Amino acid sequence: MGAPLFTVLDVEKTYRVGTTPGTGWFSAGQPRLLKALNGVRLEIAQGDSIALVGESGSGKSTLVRLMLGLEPATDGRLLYRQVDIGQFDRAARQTFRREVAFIYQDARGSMNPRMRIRAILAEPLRLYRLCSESEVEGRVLALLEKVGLSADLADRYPSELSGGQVRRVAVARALAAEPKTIVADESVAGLDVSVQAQLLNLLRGLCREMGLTLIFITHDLGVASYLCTRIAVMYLGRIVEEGATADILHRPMHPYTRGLMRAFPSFGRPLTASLKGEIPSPIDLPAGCRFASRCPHAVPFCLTADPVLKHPEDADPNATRRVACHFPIRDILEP
Amino acid sequence: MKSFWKAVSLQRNAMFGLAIVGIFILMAVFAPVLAPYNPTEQNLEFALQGPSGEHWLGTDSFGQDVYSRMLYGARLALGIGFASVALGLLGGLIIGLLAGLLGGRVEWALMRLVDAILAFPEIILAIAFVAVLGMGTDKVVYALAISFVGPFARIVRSDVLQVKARPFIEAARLMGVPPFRIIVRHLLPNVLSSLMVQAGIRISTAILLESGLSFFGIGVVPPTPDWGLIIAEGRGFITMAPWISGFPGVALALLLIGLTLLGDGLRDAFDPRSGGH
Amino acid sequence: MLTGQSGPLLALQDFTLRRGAHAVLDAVTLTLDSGRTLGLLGESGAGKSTLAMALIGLLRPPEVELFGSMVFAGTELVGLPETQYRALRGNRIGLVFQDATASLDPCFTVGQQICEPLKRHLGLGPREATARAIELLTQVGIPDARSRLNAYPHQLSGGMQQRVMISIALACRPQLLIADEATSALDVTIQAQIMELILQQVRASGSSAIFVLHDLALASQVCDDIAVLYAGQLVEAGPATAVLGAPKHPYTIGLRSCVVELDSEHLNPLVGSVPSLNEMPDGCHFCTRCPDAIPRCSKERPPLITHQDRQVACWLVPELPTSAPASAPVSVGAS
Repeated sequence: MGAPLFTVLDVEKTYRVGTTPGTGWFSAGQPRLLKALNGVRLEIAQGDSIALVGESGSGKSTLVRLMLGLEPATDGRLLYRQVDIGQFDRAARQTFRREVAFIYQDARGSMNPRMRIRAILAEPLRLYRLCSESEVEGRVLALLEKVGLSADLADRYPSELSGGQVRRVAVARALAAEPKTIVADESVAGLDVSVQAQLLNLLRGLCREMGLTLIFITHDLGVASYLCTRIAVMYLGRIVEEGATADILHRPMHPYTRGLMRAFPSFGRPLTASLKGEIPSPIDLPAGCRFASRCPHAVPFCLTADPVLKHPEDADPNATRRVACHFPIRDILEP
Repeated sequence: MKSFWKAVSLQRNAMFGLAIVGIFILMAVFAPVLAPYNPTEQNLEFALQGPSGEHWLGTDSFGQDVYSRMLYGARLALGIGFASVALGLLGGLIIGLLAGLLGGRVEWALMRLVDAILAFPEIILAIAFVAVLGMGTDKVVYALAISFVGPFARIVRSDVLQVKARPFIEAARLMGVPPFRIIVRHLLPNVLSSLMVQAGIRISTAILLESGLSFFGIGVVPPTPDWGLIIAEGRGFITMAPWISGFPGVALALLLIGLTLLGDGLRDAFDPRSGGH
Repeated sequence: MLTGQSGPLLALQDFTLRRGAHAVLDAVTLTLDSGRTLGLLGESGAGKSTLAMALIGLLRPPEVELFGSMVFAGTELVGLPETQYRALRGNRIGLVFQDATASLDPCFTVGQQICEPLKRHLGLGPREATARAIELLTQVGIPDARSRLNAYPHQLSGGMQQRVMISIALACRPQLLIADEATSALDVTIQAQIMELILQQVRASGSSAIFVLHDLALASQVCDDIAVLYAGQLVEAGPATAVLGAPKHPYTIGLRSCVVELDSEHLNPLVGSVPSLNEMPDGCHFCTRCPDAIPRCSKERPPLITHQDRQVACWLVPELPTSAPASAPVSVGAS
């Protein structure tokens, strides 16, 4: 199987968001803690394509930020090629930055508005000295072509491009440094359907052709299933279900995954608001299972003990499947 | 550059202001060529003469040609204006960058220093610094520059904080771009653009301040052909020889109007704060 | 033009909206019967939001020029004076926008904002208005409605705010509800709840609704009828099952095949993108991207004709009247 590329070990991330008012005049209030990540355990191998699926407050964006080394974890460890990313020396960090490329959700905002596309794409090339100065222009044009953009866009500024074009440039820039992994945050959200479809095909094709590892953040199960062979469903800072895409879509075991799938709009199926209630705030999480307040199958036991993400006993032992539920559901999801 | 002109030319006021300022710049640059007389050449027999064929704008109480003095005065006004703003900008840039980038105690300390400077009206500060440094053209420039450091530092710091938080800075970090290059290539260009507009607007303040200081006799030293100074000198003769104070006064007013129009136009075209571009 | 009790609630006839030299909406003809829900589908630049804005009179001369006719319950809306429009808005036509946070006034409590139309249009006194407001909030699923009346919008979550918007829109029991991307900003499980709520309220009161959507699958779940717009032109309209189940217009077909579903193996996206207003072709606006375009398409605009159970505007689709006896009402108006 080989050693995993990314390892996330019991990672926690807590933010302090103000204080609760103290009693009386002189007592300080208790700090209010936002637990964005609450014990995440994940392994990603080279060549994997995994989708982190979740709604607001799920922690998927925070997890990725931690994995990229943008912020330190409050607890737990994050490893890249078995090395703790907090312990990188300068050379290792440079390698890490080059091998792992990130595509922002706000593609236009992730580019310097004062730089032309040509300069934006050339920057990683020059930074890592991937070619001689005379070859830079050729490479830039090749990158544009690879993402299906015409060469005359090289002279424009990001503000002059359409939403779809600017996202393609973001993909091109991610590819420029010849990375091994692409991490993308909702890269196709908010786009017209046809533009989204074009971009999805592009991403899928490129990842397959170049053997890249893909980590894709999305709230859209359809996009997740199209791009990735693995799905990890997150809820309030924890992975609640994880496994092969086909497996999860066919037989989701966690009530939240089932609810999510039912809520996902689909042709020919009537509208089903299967999950009631609001998404709770990550501040002041309840004890016990975090999903219990909305779970249609919750029993009193669920409120007492926090389920652990583990392999369900009677599932196929060969399948890499994990669920965090005391009573995972065994039946196939009715369409 | 092309887009610069496109944006500016859209503003009619700005073009008008540009025209006025342009004329004064030409006057300033070509003063040695255009001025018929040496501005400090005294000719007491021709003192207090009205506009005539030999002295287009008349002469003052020392027989100096008002027209020549006015031309050289333009040079001085614009020179002091640009120089003091440039120096103040440099100082403000350094302080603002340090504060915005380093944060923490450094930022706190620097900003309290800036607060102290800003607590005083600019003219009081300028007077105080002239009192310390002495009078004279260069001293005026330094005094004004110091009083400008405060506002510029604040603007730079706030711009740096704003730009620092934008996604493309973090994206550059994620790409592995070294910090120095991020500052120079990504941060500064985005900070400087709105800063330049603010600087442009300040030039008219600088000119007004220096004229004011000179008018009160605590700016440049006579017989330097400074408009403020000339207006002060002509004050005593306002009924007899109104041209001494009159023409430089009109010139000063016109230049300030031109600069203000141009500054407003630039700001409307460029400064993202005011919603332009 | 049909009027009277038995006529459609809303009838557009060759409705055109021009902004400067460009026709943002180009001779749109469609009708909506009482009690039915209509989905306006299309991508950016289609004009669907523009149409919604024009319907409620928020886009009117002198900013734009309106031509053609738009009749709501017997009243011609084109050229209607603002004073008369005000009597309609919030009263007989209700509106729900996408961004509830921006649409609710942060300076007033929820109660004050719901009571405003009640007092204004229905002339209710303070006590009656408060009672009705509590009733409305409970109806839209906000728990503890009485105390929520004193809450400010920022104290509520996104889903709650949207529910408040819905209750304001429904306060005076409007005949028509217009929802412009009302759930696009919400998480998918909340989206399902909100959509279910809107549908339930609309059906219960027998009113009609127009949904402006970009999500085709969602449209198939909530709309009885669909009208597909492309660059300001109506290209296909009819019952949702017909238009989305068996589309006839090349654009609708292309759009349908772009949608990422849970079991999508391959996406066939439309090539290119919507032409800018300056580059809009004469004739059928879709001809530049249509895989089946013939020379006639770029010169002459195809008329809207009835083809079996729906209306299509395409030279390649022949006019075929409904062969089956009209058991279900053909709710798309005749030209």
